[in-house]
Amino acid sequence: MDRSLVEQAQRGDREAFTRLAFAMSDRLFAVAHRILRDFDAAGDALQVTLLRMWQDLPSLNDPTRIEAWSYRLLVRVCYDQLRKQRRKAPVLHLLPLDGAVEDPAISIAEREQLERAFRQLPSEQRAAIVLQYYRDLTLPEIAEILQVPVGTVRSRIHYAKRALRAAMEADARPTTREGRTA
Amino acid sequence: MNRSRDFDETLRDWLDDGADHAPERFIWAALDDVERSAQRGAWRVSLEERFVNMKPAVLVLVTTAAIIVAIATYQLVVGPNVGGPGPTPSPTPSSQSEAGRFSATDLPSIIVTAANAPEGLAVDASEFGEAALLVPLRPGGPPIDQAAFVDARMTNINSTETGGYVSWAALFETAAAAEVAFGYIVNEHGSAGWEMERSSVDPGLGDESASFTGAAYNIFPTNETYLWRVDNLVLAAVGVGDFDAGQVRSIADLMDSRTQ
Repeated sequence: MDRSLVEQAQRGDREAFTRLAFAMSDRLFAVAHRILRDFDAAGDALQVTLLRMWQDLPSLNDPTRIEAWSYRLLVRVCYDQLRKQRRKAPVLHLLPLDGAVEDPAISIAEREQLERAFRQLPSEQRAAIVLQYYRDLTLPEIAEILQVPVGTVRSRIHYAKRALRAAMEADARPTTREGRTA
Repeated sequence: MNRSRDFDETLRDWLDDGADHAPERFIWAALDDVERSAQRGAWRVSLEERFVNMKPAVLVLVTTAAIIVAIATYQLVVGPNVGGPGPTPSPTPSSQSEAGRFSATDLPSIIVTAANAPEGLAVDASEFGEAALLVPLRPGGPPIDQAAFVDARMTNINSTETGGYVSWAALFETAAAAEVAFGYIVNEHGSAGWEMERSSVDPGLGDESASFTGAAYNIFPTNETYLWRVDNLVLAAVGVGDFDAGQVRSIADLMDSRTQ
């Protein structure tokens, strides 16, 4: 990211911030979409995050860290969105995921299983999984964004993967009695 | 190893499959908001950041503390008799008597952490907040009521490929709320949930307690779990996989003694 553009935006230059917003929005939206699993909710999260970025830019000490900083704001907004979603009646849109393109590498059944299991994860685990497996960030980078120790990121990813894998394996097993699997 | 790599690849492929471009309408809507909004000074942002992750109950405590400090400062500077008679002692608010004994700051001194682990116990990982609260619960099970939930901590102890131990505590605003949560968590370990076997002998921990053995948590087929409640705190000590039953009990006793 162009450091001078960030610095101009920090000084209140709206034109510079507009260019910054367009440069960063795809990445922010993609991450929000994967955490929230909802196209419109991701759009709302992007909108709120961009506004907070503008308002809080003067607090960013190191302009070269804008990417990690913007993810930190985005993840917090996503946590808020998920909290609000939980208060509403749960609505599951398993397939298709808005904007998704069918990936032949994964079966439809696997996608459904992952989708269902991922939606059961706590928001903190969702964020950690997306930042590692979608953004390919390192554990220290994720720890900086989530503002938790590296060990905590590692355990969040461990527990999230454990839950996802268990849910997929449970779905794969034949049902032996009412509502339960062997 | 291959199984793990395959799962990682599946996860990556699944996450790759989604929207990559932000619709411009969202960006322009945000920029409209930006147009009407001023930037904030760095100090104000920093102060707000301290509050952003606080649970409502903690926020109430901090706000109350700030008000008390303000009143105390006022009385110190202006004097208690200025503007009328001095303050009279007020009765304890009823909400205070209902509040639980423990607060969020007690959690690190009750569970086993790297700072307070006895010799022979090494903490490998920690979890906090809602993520910690949900660890012992079944994915896909009925949701736990979090209305009065304040905070939770969990640590993994002496973890190996074949087993280990867990120290866990969840804090609720009141003893009544913790009682409800305890009932829910006990239920989730029994026939309605993980289907662990409940011991007929009460382990005698805290105000109420239960212990379970069997398969749970989607990790190992053998686990031993002590669950108990002390006032507004629900606690657990767990051995998973290849564990020593005496060690699980001693972790439970250690945590319980720290609540006294």
